[in-house]
Amino acid sequence: MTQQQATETLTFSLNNNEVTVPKGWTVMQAAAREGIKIPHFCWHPGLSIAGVCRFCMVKVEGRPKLEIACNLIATPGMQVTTETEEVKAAHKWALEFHLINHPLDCPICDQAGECSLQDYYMSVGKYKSEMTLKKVLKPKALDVGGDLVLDTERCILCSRCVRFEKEVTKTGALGIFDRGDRAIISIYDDKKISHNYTTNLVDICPVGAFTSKDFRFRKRVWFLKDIDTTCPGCSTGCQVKLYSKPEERRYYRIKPRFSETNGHWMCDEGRHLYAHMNPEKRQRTAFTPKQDNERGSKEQRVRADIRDALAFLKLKMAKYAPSDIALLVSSQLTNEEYKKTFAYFVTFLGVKKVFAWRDSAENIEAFDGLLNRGDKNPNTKGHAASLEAVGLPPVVSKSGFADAMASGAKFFIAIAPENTQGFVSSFDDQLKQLSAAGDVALFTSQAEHAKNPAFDLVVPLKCFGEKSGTFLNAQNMESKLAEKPFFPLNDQVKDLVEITALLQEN
Amino acid sequence: MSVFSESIVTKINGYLGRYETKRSSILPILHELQDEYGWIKPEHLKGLSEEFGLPEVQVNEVATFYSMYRLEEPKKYRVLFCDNIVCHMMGADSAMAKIRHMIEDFEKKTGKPSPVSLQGVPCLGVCDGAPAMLVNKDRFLKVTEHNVQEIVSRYLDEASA
Repeated sequence: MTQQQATETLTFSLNNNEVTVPKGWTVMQAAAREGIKIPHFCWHPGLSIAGVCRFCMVKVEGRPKLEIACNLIATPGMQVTTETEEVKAAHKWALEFHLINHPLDCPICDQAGECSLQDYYMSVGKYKSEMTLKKVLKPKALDVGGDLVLDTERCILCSRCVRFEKEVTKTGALGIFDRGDRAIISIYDDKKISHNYTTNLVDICPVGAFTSKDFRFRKRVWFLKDIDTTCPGCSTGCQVKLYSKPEERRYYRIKPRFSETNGHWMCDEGRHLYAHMNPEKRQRTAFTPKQDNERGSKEQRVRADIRDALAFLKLKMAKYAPSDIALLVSSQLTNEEYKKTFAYFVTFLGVKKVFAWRDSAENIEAFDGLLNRGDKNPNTKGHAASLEAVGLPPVVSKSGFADAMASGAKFFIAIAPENTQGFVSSFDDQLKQLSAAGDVALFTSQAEHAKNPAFDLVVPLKCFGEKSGTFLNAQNMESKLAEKPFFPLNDQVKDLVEITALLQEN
Repeated sequence: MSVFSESIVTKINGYLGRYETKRSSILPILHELQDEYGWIKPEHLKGLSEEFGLPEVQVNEVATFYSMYRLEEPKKYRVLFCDNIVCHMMGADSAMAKIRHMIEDFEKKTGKPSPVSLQGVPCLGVCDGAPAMLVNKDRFLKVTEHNVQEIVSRYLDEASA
């Protein structure tokens, strides 16, 4: 909706209601804003107008034929009706044409449940097919690169994907080859799609032609619940929906939702940031050092209740002077967590050695021009602002980890990041150095981080799907995590707001 | 080394500069290639993107959309038989069946690929002479199952001779 800035407006009649829209708007845009549903396949608010599906027919008073709403510019005084018998008949016929060669393999199609063809059949179709000819067979299950699997039989040739490739990523890898009922969407030869935004094609495909390798055959969509949250993958902070089957405590996928920050899209890298929240990846309980009178494994640590672990942490901190304690924090916590954490450790306990746990090789300024940023921490700005609020220098330094090691501290309270994609180069190294550095209390959500038995005091954390709170993104815009997040993995995992409350309790 | 001859390259460059978008020039360029070489070879399609920067996807979209672009090597004699309503009424069907039969026979007997291909095409604009047929650029009128053998065998015999 690029014409939104236009100052001139005009008024026309839509279903007998006067609507006022900026000059240049189409009837489809106006209807979308007014909440009037006009059935459509090829129109997408983030793409150019194609007008190929012939589905969004509306009646305009005084014009002999029905018009397509997506390409109908509103004019003053125009009288548009979206639900007449004539329009209904047009929808029904258009749908029947779309379904002529559609394989109707809904039972094995991942799109089932969120498929425009299914939805429209139920709302405007409901006819008995009069087709007696055999369906045209086309290539299926093609690997076209990225995260994509293409089934050309299910395709209704709306050309959204072709336009996405042309207009958004400007790669132009997809085209419509051949003609008529033999026409297929495809890549040319073996020139596969290779960019970081492929899964958007799965989202915009109104049918099941594009499915995601990552999500394919994993879960029927009607079992999934979704929450509105923010992608923690980089400092852009795309607004997303996170899908989970809450009974399983398992997460299945992330999809973008429209916002000023990210428009309609998000990158593939962010899409995969649900896997680390699944049970098999998680640190489920706390660890405390094994006492002399305890039996059990040969390891020097035992599983413990989080309250015991925190009590142990307090005892341990009491043994050190505040100047001997270093706090190592990632830039992936929420503003609320920073506030509470710094209020407790810095203001209350007087720990002044606070460092940022970052990757020294990261390229913070990198930006791919669309959405993806080099700073893989969602809350670098919030981190800095919270530091400033407690009177520490508001600098989130890349060399924070090295500084912490060199600071002469004897006890490290380390809060690990949940997403270590941006730490590929050095995170394992850093964990190794940390385990050798002396006494460490490791806060982490990932079992992988705590697997080294040298970490004998471990506190389990929540992941972003289980938390509420806010991030401050690279453009200083505040983005929210879910107000009602998913139920946490178990009663042991906590976020730092809860942990600091427990620490202050007794 | 260019896959195109020098004269073709000059022509292609002419078309590329003629239209508002490069994409618009694909249609006449493909015609030019087909006139020059008889058909459009895969390496030509590739060459257009490698040497002239036309996106392969777009070139192939256009080339596969129109059935008048030949993407396979044509036979020496291309029989275009009108299969529209008037010719159909005057017996085009049985005449075409006869040609098909002759081609099969030829291939069976000689073991060589037939030099003649048959394609049904829409109206050739000579309904008064229906059924009408083109062999390359020669026109034949009132072709029925009775006289078609004589015409087509001329082309087949020439090849087997």
